[in-house]
Amino acid sequence: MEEVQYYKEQLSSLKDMFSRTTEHMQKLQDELKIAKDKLEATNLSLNQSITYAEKIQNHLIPIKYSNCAFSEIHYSVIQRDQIGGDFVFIYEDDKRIYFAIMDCTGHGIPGALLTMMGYNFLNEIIISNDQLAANEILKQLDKKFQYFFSIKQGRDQIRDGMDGVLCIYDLTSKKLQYSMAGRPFWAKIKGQWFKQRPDRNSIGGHTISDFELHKVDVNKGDEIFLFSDGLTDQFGGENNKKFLTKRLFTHLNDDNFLNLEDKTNSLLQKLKDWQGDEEQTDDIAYIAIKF
Amino acid sequence: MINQSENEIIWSNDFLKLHNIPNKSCGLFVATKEYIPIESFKNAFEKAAVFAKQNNWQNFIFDKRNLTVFHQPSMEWYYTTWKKELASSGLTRHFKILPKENWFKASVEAGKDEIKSKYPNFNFDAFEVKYVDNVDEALSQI
Repeated sequence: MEEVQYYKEQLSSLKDMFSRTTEHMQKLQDELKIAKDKLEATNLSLNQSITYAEKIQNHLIPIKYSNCAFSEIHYSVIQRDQIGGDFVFIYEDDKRIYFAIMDCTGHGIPGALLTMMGYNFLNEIIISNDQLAANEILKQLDKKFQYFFSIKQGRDQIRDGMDGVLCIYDLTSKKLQYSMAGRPFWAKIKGQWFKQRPDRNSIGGHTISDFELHKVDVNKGDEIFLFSDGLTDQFGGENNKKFLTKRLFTHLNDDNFLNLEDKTNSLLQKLKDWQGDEEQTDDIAYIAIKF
Repeated sequence: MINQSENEIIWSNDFLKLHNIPNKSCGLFVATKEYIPIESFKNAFEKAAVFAKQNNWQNFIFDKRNLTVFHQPSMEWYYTTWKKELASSGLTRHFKILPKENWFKASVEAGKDEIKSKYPNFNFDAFEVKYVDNVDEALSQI
């Protein structure tokens, strides 16, 4: 092939190559644009859906609960994502005030679904029998979760449920009973902190023994603090470590606060400062009560 | 380190050099110019087909690093005729060494995409195609 002819052909092939490649890139760009638009639409729809789900889940949080039995009661639920697996339960009838902190398996959408189940099971059990002891309520709660998630035809067994502490304050006897499932019970009775470690039972998960019933006399000035593990598991600080119960207790044990509200607000600020730029590790919930 | 000159050059034209790497049952084509006219391309690969069958090549390395122009009709023929014919005699593993330029790589992708739409029944899975940076990398995988 003559040199001129060779270069002519090369030039023509080069032009052809550019035009084909440009066309291909344009096609890819168009496909990417379609995929991007689809993703944006899906994202928008998901966000709208989650925002509405958040509204629904927020209905679980009691609105400014107060009762003359408590001089102060403060609670908060801070889900890691818009919706999550922690909830605070407060219910009263003529004789009793029930309050609980519950931490469902996981977070986000599955966690939120479990909170709706857990909340309604708990409500149902308490309304159907107002004489049940705290441990009997947890036992029934466990049964309901176990039954719901038991092996059914064509479905895998799911071992999801929740950890938590349920307290019942008797308005007549002024006595407090409680039962624990994987979460601790902290109380300041007559000025002394009492931190009861939880057993290893979990509602709907592994129950290795019966849920135990505990009773304690409470008087004016005594405090109760229930919390989910998201509070102490929050990563942060200088070395990106967990907040841990040690720091939580040091804060709760500090008496230089005006009142319990001041103490819990300051705790949330401390936790926020600890978290810094880190993401929230888990859902967080607590109830602080002063009699 | 594999020295290409140590491997026997069994055939060449103005644009391509064909090596035999017998201990790897492998043929190696090295493009020596920036552009290969289609007739020279076809002729070279037809020659390579004869050697492939004689030497029972199961692997083939095509070193295109000296190319700057990607010629689509040559590539179509290479894919749909040559590769297909050689696959029936056992040559199914292909290694490609492309020039560093991203636009060349993009044009290869464009070419493959065009072949796919022009020959919807063409079975690309009949061949194993691997992109490597150099001959040593290809040989280390055989």
